[in-house]
Amino acid sequence: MNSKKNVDQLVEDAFNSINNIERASVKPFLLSRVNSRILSEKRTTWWENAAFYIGKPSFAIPGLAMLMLINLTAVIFYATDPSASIAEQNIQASSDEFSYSIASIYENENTEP
Amino acid sequence: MVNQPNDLIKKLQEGDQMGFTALMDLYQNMVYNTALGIVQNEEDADDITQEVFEQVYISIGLFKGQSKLSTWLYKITITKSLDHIKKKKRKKRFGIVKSLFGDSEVEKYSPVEFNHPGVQLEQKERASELFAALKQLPDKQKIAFILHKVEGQSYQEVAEIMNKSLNAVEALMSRAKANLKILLHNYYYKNLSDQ
Repeated sequence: MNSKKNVDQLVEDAFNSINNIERASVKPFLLSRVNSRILSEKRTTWWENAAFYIGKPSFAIPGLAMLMLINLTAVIFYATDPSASIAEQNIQASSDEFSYSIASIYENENTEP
Repeated sequence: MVNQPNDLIKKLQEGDQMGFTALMDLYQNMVYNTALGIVQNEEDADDITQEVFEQVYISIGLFKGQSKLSTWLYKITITKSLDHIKKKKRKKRFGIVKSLFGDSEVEKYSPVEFNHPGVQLEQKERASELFAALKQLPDKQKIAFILHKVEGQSYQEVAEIMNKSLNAVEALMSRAKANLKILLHNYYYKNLSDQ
């Protein structure tokens, strides 16, 4: 009974403890800190702006088309490159002449009829 | 000299630095104390105050003047403070997961006990117990209680800040008080039985 009274009193005291609460003061130089934050934010927005313009369809679609065209040109150019096919022919010719085929012990066993 | 909020808004929207300085002079303690009541950590409240004014500087053009400037500032502060708490909880959860995988780096978290600098010395202990209980309330009840009891706003002003009807705020307040009573009762009973 007594402890219940005590607890009720403590709860009441807890509620009353903030009745005359005063305002806490901010740390000094808040304005300078906020200004430096705004300035650093401005510095990063240049990149954001750049990304925004690059990401625009009017810029991005022609850009992508240009990249694809360059890739396609490169593929076509290398596919029809005559020097590449001559080199391939040379390899084939030397392969035929020197018989590059891999010899194994099984083939040696079966050399005689 | 710019003192009236209407002049302030006009100056701010014109990008006047003096207007921004005047706005900060007028509202910095209000923003800081609201954030402090919600997050219960002085460093975090300071960070939130900076974020709020940065946000104000960026988006003052969006302020239509349909509500009071202070109401708008309260709204931004509350949103930022609740976001901050969520972020901290996420970090804490991630820290626990990291520690399970053997990462010994332990992050610093705010102490459990919070002493509001504006509370009178003889009331510090009871107030810190009240703030600890306040932490456990649902967000809306917590905000209503802080705005009314700590910030001294009327129910009508709380209703405007929280975008609620007067009846809804009254209901939130009575639920907040009832829940706080239960939490404090449990806490004191436990403490008395432990002694």
